[in-house]
Amino acid sequence: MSTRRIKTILLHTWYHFLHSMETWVDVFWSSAVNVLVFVFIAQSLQSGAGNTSGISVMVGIILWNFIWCGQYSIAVGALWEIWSRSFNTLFITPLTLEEFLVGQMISGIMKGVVAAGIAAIFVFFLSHYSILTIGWPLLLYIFELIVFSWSIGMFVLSLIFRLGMNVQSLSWVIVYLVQPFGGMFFSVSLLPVWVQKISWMIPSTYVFESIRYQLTTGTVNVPFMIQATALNVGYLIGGYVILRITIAWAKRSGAYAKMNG
Amino acid sequence: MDSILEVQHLTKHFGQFKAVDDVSFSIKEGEIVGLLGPNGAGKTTTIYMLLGLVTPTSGMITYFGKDFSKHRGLCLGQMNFASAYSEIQGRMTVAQNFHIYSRLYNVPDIKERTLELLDLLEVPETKDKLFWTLSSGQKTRVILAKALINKPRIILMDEPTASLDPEIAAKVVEIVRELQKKERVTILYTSHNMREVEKICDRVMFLSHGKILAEDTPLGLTKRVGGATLTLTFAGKYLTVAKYLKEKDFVHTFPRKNVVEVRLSDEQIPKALFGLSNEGVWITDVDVSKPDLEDVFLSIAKGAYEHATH
Repeated sequence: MSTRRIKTILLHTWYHFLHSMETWVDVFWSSAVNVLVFVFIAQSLQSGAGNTSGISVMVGIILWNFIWCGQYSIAVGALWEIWSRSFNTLFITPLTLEEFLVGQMISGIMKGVVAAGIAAIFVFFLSHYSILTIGWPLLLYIFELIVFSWSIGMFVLSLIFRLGMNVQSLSWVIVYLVQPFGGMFFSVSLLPVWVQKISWMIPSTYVFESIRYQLTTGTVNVPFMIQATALNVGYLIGGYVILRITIAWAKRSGAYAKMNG
Repeated sequence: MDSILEVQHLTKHFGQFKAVDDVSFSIKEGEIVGLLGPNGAGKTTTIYMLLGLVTPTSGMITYFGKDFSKHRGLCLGQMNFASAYSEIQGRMTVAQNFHIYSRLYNVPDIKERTLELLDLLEVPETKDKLFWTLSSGQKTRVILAKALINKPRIILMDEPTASLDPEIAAKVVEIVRELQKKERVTILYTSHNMREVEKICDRVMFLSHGKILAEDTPLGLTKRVGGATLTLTFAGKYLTVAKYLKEKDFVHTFPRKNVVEVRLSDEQIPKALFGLSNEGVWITDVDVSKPDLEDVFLSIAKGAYEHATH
C-alpha cells in the first residue's frame, strides 16, 4: 500500500469535485435541504421539558451526512470512473484496489465533515441546538457510522460488479434503508417486531439508540457501542471480502474489463 | 535483444467458448508488433489479459523477466496502454489528469513531462481544457501522450485509431512511428486497418478463433500469399481474351466491359501479356497489384473459417 497513491486518489477526487456540479448537489445541496425539512419537524416534536425526540431527529440528520458521504465516495467514486470510461485506465497503473478504497474512504470522511458541519451550523441557527453538546462521545458515534458507511459502499460496489451497470442506481438507493431501519430518527421500539429484528442487525441502530440514551441519561450506552463495533468489524471485513471475491469473479468472467462505460 | 514480453500458452475460456487458445509469443525490446484478426478473434481478450483486466484460464505472462501475476505493480509501472475505448477522467482538465497519472506512476517533473508530451503529440492547446470537451482526434492524441507519461518500456495499443477519420488516423500512425523512433518504446498494436499495420509494424501475428495462425514480417506474410492481380484494359476482342485465359487456365474476371482481372504468379505475368498480344489483342492499359496484408488477412481468415466450419 503506497501513501503517495492514496494521496493521489484524494487529489483525483478533489480535481473531479472542482468540475462536477452533480457531486456538489449530491453531497451538500441535498444535505442542506434535508436539514431545513427535519429541523422544523424536530421543532414540532420537541415539546415539553425532558423530551429529546426533536433533538434526536436533528442529531440524526446531521450524522446522516457521514453515512451518506462515506458510501457515496466509494460507490459513486468508482461509478464516475466507469461513466468516464477511465476505470480501466486507472487500474492499469500500479494503483491497487485497497489504495483506491482507502483514498475514497478518506475523501468520504472529508466530505462528511464538511456536509455535517454545514448541517450542524444550519441546525444551530434554526433551533439553537449545538451537536457539540454531546461531547467526546460524538467522535465515537461518527467513527462507528463512517465505518458502517464504508461497508455499505463496498457492498454496493460488489453488486455493481456482479450485476452490471443496470443496478448503478443502488448507489443512491440502498443507503436510504438506514433511515427507517437503522434507528436514525426514532426509537427501534416503535417499529413492528419483525422489523426490529432487522434493525438490530444494523450497526447504526446501536449508535442512534446510544445517542438517544445519552440525551436522556447523560451517559453513553457502552454495551450498545460494543455491539455496534462488533457488527462494524464483521461488516467491514465481510464487505471487503465480498468485494474482493466479486472483482475476482468479474476478472474471470470479463465483466471487469467491460466496466468502462 | 532482450525479450520485453513473453507469453506462454495463454488460454482464456468463457464457459465453453475458447476466446484465446494456447497462444505463445514474445516481443523484443524496440519492436512494434501487430496483432491482427477479425472480430471475435481474441485480440482484445489477449490485450486485457496482458493488462491484468481479465484473468487467464491458464498460461503465463512475463514482463521484463518478471511473472506478471506475482509482480503486478512492478510490471504495470513500466508499461502503459492506449485505446480508442479507454479514456481518462472527462471531468478533469488534461493537465489535472496528467498530474494524477504522473503521481500514480511516480513520475518526477510532472509539469515539464506534461508539456513535453502535449507538444510531442501536437496538442499543447488541450492542457487546460476538460478532457470531455476535446474532439476525437485531440482525445486520441492526449491518450497517446498519457500512454507515454511514465516513459514505458512497452505500450499496448488496442485499435487506437478506431474512431478517427482517415486523415487524422494517418497522422496518429505517423506520430506512433515517430514516437517509437524517439522514445525507443516497444509496442504491441492491434488494429483492423491493414495498411496502418503494414506501415508501422516490424512483425505481425494473425489471430483467428483464439489461435495465432501466422507470424512474420508484413513482407514475409504477403509473400506467403504470393502472386499478383493483373488488370488489363483492352480494345474489343472480348471472346479472344476470354478463350485465351480459359485455355491457359488463368483465374480471371471481367469487372467491366473491356477490362479483365487475372490472378497469376509473378512469372506468369509476362507470359500472359505476350500471349494476349500474340492473339492480336490490343492492350491499352496494364496494372499489376501485389498482395497486401488485407489479402493475407482475408486468405487466413477464410482458411480459418473453413477449417472451423468443417
